[in-house]
Amino acid sequence: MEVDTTAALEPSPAAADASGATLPPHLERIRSRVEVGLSRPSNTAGTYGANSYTPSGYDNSLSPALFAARLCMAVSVLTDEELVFDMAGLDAPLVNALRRILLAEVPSVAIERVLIRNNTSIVHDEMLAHRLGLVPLRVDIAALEDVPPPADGEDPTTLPYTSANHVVLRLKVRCSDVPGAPPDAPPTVRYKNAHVLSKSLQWTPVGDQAAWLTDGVEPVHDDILLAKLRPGQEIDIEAHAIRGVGRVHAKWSPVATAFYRMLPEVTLRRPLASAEASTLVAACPANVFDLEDVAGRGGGDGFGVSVARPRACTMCRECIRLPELAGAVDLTRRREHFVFSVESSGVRPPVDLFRDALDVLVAKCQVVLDALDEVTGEGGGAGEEAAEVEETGGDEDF
Amino acid sequence: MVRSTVTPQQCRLRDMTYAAPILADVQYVRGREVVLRRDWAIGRMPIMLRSDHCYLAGKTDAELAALGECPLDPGGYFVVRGTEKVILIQEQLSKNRIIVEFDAKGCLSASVQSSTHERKSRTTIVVKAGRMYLRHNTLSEDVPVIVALRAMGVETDQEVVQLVGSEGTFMDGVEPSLQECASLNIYTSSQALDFLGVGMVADGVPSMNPAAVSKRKEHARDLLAGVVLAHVPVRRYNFRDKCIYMAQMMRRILAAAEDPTMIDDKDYYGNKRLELAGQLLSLLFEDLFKKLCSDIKRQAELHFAKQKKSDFAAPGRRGGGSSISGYDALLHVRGDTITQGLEFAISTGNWHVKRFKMERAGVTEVLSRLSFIAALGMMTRITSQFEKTRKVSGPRALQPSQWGMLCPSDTPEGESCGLVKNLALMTHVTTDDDSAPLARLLYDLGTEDTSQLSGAELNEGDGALVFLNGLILGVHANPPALAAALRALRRRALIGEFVSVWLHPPHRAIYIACDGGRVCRPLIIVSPSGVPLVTDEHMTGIARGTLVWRDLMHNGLIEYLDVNEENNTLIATTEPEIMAGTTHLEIAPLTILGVCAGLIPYPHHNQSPRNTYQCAMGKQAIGAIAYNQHCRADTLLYLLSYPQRPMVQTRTLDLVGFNRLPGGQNASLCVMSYSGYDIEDAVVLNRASVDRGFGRCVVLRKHASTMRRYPNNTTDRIMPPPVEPPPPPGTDPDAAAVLVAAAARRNARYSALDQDGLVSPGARLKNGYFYANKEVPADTSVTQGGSAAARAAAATYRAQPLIFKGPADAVAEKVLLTSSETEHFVVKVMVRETRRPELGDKFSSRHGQKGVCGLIAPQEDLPFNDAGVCPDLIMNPHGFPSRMTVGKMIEFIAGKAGVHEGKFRMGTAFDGDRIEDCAEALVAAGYSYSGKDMFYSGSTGEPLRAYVFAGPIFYQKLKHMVKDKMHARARGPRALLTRQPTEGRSRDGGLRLGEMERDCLIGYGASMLLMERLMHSSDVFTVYACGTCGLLGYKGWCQYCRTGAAVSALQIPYACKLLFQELQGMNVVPRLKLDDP
Repeated sequence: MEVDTTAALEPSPAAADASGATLPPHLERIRSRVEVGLSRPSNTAGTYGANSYTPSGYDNSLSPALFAARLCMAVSVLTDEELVFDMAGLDAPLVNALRRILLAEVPSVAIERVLIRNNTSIVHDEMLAHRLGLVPLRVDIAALEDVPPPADGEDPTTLPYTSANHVVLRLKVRCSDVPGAPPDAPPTVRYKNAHVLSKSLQWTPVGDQAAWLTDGVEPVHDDILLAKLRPGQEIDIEAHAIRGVGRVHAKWSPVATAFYRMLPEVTLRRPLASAEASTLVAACPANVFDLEDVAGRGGGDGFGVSVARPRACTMCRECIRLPELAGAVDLTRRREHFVFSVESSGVRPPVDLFRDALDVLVAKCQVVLDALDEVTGEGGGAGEEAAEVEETGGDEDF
Repeated sequence: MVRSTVTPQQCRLRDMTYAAPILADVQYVRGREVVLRRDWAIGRMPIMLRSDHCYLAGKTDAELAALGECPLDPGGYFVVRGTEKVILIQEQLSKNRIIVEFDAKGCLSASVQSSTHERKSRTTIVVKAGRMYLRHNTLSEDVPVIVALRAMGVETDQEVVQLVGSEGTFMDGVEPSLQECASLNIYTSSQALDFLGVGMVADGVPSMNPAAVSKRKEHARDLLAGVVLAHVPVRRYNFRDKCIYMAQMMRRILAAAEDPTMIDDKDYYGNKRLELAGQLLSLLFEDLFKKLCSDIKRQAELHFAKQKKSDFAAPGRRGGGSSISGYDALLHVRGDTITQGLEFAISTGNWHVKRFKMERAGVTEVLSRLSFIAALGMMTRITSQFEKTRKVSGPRALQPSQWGMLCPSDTPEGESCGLVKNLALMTHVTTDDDSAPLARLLYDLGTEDTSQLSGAELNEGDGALVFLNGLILGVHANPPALAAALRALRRRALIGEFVSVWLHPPHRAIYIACDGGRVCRPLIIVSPSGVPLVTDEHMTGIARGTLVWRDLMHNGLIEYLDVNEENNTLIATTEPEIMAGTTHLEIAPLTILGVCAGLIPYPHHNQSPRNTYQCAMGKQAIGAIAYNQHCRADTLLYLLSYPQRPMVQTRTLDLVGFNRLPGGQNASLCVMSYSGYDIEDAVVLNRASVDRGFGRCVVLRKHASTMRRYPNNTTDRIMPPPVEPPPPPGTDPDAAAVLVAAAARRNARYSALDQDGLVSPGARLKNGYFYANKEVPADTSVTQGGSAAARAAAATYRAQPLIFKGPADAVAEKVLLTSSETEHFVVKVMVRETRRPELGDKFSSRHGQKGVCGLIAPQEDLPFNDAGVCPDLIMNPHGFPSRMTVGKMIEFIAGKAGVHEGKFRMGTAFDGDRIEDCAEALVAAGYSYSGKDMFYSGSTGEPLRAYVFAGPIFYQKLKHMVKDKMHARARGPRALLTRQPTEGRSRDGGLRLGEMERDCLIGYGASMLLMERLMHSSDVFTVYACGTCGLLGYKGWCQYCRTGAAVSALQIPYACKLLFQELQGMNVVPRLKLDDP
């Protein structure tokens, strides 16, 4: 169940600069809000220049201390497969970097090579291999090494797989008749192994893997349909799984998806009449608004409305589209407050994935720092490392 | 007699013809006895799949599957020599009907294309200078029509006028013709026949010899009886019916001269007949059967002639006539005349029928198995006989009378636009029905026979002429009552359901038709009180299965109307539109579209050409072909790895089975500009989607080879791959490994072969690898001496391995070993290649919006929305304004609503879910009413500056793929004759620098570049030319001048040298003038 964490992060600490100065409201709105208009969103781009607001006496620069002071996070959903948390006090590019890394650069293990001993099923060898590749595997990622990338012109199919860098899964299934099954029963009843599921993938330790891969290797889900068989058909294969990243192939992406949204902000521009209030409450599919008994509190006639759950707003813009509600609601998004979701494919807990993403980001920063060091001649020992890094950099472009 | 069943699938795989024997009982004379031979097979008739005589008829889905057949396959085609052939529906002008129109010279004419079993002929009556003439092929020139009438026994002017009509206009119209006849001094039948007879004699002076005269008359009379208006029967030279018919033609002309609306429209679809495979085959069969009979006769005569001669030569050798008694005509007949003739016609598409002088080409086409829809669409295709080159718009235009019968959208673009059409969903084409019972019925219902009536009675009064299949049957005093009675009978299923009754007051006629080839469609009958007869009760009955179509027909709730009868109806499109006078109600408006157009969601919102484009593109979409797609051995098969049902459905999809054999995938699409690699309709693909299987397809290609048997009893054979001897024992292991590796390298091309010399299924094939190690005998000539077995054993063989040539590595899918009908051993290897989408592959939505893939972007770079949804595909919004495919936009919204509700949405033509409902469903799911959502840029992380129209759209991957087309060459093969680079990708040809490019270079003055492109990089050749004589010689020697003094070397294109030599071959001396700069 999602926990509303907005309150925990209020008031946003991002408003004040290092010296505690704030912007006048109209500028603060430009700085920190994305306008959600009827026909188009406006003010979508952030202002990152340190001196953008200098004339107004506001220092837009960022220091680590300020960043640390401003950053605040709160988790609202945490399960084995999903992590939703709020991140406030930082800019979109940085959050986006984490999202991109999660999608493309956090490593996981997936089947890369399939040796087919026998496949008499209707599913083609290539298709079976492709399906196997997409099966998420639960492996201790840290225990495995990366397979060295192929050199220029080297055939990737001949890369050395060792016990240190790959795991082997066997799939040997043969379909046969179930004696005595009624002839009109579904195939799964009539035949043994009519459906080949991912649970049939059996880990076979290579070398001494059994000793150090103590958690074993298994598909995250037992019930992924790989192929369908009929009596006499057989699949007998050996699949080799290696570490990889989503940038190379989506099968290595450890997340189903990772994304964020900017926190919606819904405010009422004017007090609403009773009729308008109930229209508004009825119009909102996300149930953002609550009816309030204004009359009971002596505030006028009938009902008023309150913005009860702005976080639930999906930005369907129904409240600003309806002509009878024109000008009633102001929709904005907080530019520096993100609701970040990590939907793990199940291979690893989403928290680990996010942590890894941070590590990758740090490593990337380190690359830049090292490179800068090299250029400026500082940190003499980093030269060798930097050279290596450049190579990886080349790969990234590719 | 051995009976064996042959299934269509066997025929496809074994390259056989799916045919069944035609059995006949033959009675003939053998010597002095009469022999009756029962069930003698005179030939084999190709069987249309799923027809009544097909082995598959009436089989359940499971039985079909057991026979290797797809239950969804529509049938309707033939399997001839292993290929599936469709006999296209042929459109023609209807036979035996009077058509009044202007002829080529602008004269008003009434023409009839008569067609009987024996002959076809065209009879025309034309008006020239107010006088009417009869025109016919057998007449050397136009004959005054009155003369023809006189010849047929109408001798008085009064009779002529009464036959045509005694109203003022008709009388005035006939008068000049009568005068002309009088001026020719023809008053009697005899005179007229003589006149006609003279006219028919093309050359020479007509003889006055009485015998010749009578013969001439007889000839003329026979002509009038049998050839002119051949379809009107003349019994014992009783020309009465023919006179009436001719008079009616005159009447129609005169009426049209008075009132231009009476001129007929040739393109009106009621004047068209569709010829189906059965009719075409019966024509051909009749011809071949006659040929068989004459062959039998000729054989027998030949035999007897020979016999007579030998009897004459040696009279005493045998008893008189005993040898004749032994002759069995059936034993001497080539049994394959009919079989071969039919097979040849279907496999080539050349329809030659001698009797009608019919010579049509392109009647059949190979069934396209590119996609399920392509195959289905082919069954409904209609071709017309019009020339494609003629620039007339009439036959190409969409005629209003085609409404509901032919699909308004499905026609090709280009030269055959509008000439090739497709049937609409519910169209039925009638088959020939016996007209005799109907004629009897018409007489019983009060039609007065023409023989009982005078000319005046024909044309006067309130009655109308009763036409049955174009013949005048008689007159009925109360035509509306007759029509009502016939329709009532038809609705009670007492006469054929496809009998059409067309009341035509302007013609004073009621046209009744039961002939074949009329297009008709079913409609719901509306009672006179304005209530449709099919009620909800019936609908539930149908849904429950207690009622079937036939019940509705027999209960008179639904009836089939042909184009002509539709003229007597008032059809409401929807129930609320029923008004006073409405007679019928459309069953469903969507049925005016055909199969291909039926795939399009919301087609009524699209600009019309877009639907036409989609009809063409749906046939190129890769998808599932059939349930037996993996058991087939087609030359080329494209299959989609993960086909999906479209999110937005149409009713047609369910009806035709497209849902079970889809041809595309639902892609989540964003309409936005991205990266600039999406200009000109290019689309951007999400790499992660591609990784996960979007647009992945399989290409299956057949490689086949026949193991031939030669006259000397040797055959081709397949041998195991060569075996390398193992390294000698005791070799150093390292050296042995090197040896083995070297052997493996040497024999790499054999590596895919199994021990039997054929590629093993699942083996990888690289370019140049062998898929069968075939050997052919070195000597195939017939030699004498030694036993056949010994010779065969002694034969030497030459290796001729079958080489796989392909742009990319492939996998042998399966190997089929079989024998063809001629007992030749056949090897078929299906080679499979799996492809993922790449740059340049072609995609299209269902709205005629095609585009190539311009960029495959990584997922993290692509935009995402609040729910984390990232598009599979990005399309540029510029595709919309000019194309006006509003249907696509609605598909977005309906599809998106469906996704979030977890159900399919309907986009049926003229119906479908309302866009407002879909938009409200979107709002309920938390999306914007407009379908446009806020997206964040994948690269900057900030919100995009506009809302993006996004949703799922059914996308088709089209068969045009870069891998099949890309081509470049540096050096390569050259043509033998000209030594210029070859042409075409298949021959690894060069890229042509054409005339226009050449013009450009000339314009620039880039002479050296020209020289390089056209000579040095092409066919440069060094010749030695003699400066003295200007002829080509040898290096250092001119044979003509017998000196080498002035010979110099120069470089010219080889083609130029060739030209010189060819000129010399024609005794033209080309001389080169050499100039030393």
